[in-house]
Amino acid sequence: MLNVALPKGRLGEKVYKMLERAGYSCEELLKDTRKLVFTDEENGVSYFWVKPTDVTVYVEHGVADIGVAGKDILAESGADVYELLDLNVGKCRMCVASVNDFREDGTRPLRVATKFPHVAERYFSSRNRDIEVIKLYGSIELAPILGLSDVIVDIVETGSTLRENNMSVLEEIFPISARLIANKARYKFKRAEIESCVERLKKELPE
Amino acid sequence: MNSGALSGEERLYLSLKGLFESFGYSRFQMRRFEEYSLYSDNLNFLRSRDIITFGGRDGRLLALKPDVTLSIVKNCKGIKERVRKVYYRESVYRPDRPGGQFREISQIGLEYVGELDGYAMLEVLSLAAESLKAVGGGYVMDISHMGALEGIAESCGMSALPDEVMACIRSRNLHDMKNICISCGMGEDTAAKLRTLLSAGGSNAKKLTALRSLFPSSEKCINAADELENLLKSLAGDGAAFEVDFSLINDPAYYNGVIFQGYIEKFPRAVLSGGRYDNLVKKLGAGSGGAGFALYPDELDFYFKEPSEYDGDCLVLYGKDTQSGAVLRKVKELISSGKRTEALPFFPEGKRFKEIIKL
Repeated sequence: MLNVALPKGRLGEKVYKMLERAGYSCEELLKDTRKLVFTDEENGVSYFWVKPTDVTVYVEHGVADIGVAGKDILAESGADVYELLDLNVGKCRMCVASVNDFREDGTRPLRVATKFPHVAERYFSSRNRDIEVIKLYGSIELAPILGLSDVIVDIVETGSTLRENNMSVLEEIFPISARLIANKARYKFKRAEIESCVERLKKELPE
Repeated sequence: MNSGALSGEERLYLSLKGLFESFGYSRFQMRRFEEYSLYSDNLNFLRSRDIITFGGRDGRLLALKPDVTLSIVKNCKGIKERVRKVYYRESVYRPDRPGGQFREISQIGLEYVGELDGYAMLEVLSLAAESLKAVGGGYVMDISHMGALEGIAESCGMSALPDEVMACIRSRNLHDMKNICISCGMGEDTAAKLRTLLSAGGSNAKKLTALRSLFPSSEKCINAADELENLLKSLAGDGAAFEVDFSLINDPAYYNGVIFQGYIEKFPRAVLSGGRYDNLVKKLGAGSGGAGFALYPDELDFYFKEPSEYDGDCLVLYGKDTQSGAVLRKVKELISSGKRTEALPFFPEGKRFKEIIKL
């Protein structure tokens, strides 16, 4: 039996459809129900929906054997897990952005608003740039517009939110997509099952 | 002593203590703190760079020890014996995971420092396998060789693999390997070889053959494959638990030979890790070689212990007029028959007992 943590939302539903086509269907999963855990004995799979940022926690603690997490969440959490497959969905970019007329003042630390403080610190420290991180939980784009920060480090999908607010991407840090991750210990004991899932999923990846 | 009264960790320690002593290892005890400079000079050897520090009365900066091996190797500096074999049961102080809170983490392990030969390494590996077996349940010991990584780096004209490539190997991230190798100046060919090496399945022999055939001109890769092959063959029965896994890596500044990591079926993380650390021993001037391992029994009870339905076997409820001597006699009688017994003049709230005896 494979225990799978899926991220709630559109991305999770998209990946479930891929898993369904790969032979890991679970009839009840997409029904409107209050159930939290969905098991299909016949297909040897048990799913649970969790908050996207919690997927790595469930997998790292071995409650889920495998899970689906964005590269952004993996990079921020630093979870010690295996990253077995790029699922090629949920594609976007981790970027540094600011207002269109932004000019950097190199005489003081750069003020960076972000939901991803570890990513921001690692990126700017690799460039020897001193920064002051302002951790936010949402509406990150507001920060440079209202003067809370110089720049933001955030996910950019199409860039339309930035454009509508007279902002633009300054630098791309890394590309993002959903990844299939596995708990390291569970992988040792369920290797055949997990590898078979990876191989079957590979055939369902979007171009 | 009633062994049921011991925690899983205590029982494990007693069984390992016997095992280690029977192989000639002696107990090493140390202080809870060391000079901070020991750790600041060897930060990459530590699992976490977060260290609890405090000032000594003479102005020296001290630290609650985040690691045991460094203290033991430092202690071996200048010893007269050609080899030193010690085991320990100590607490270390560090965050349990990146960004986590500081915790007191218990650790049981052994170190073999001095002149290491083939037998010494084999003994350490065998004891590691025995220790993992002693934890209980199914187990797997991943084994790799730092020489393989050095050889791969050298074949690309580098002294060590870049951190980004190491991170990719560690997480078995084959899909990003090509782009990362290229961005680190390693070329597509090496990326393809690394992908083939990491995805090689099947027996240990097949994985070692893959290493030899992918990097045939690297002396270090060939030697690493030979050493692993010989060790696995010599481990005989214990060897069955070992699985060659080249995604297992450690810091090359300290580790130079065989490295290993043990997993048990019920536990979500590695419960044992170790390897050969000649580079650390040489750096601290404590001889020519060292190898050892540590077992982390801290959370085992959480995953292994079945919650008990009762708080005790017997409750002796005595009244105001009951003679104290009679109560004590009854309690002793019950305990001697193997029952966990508590005597109280009232029923304790929230507790459950299999049997209640009123006196």
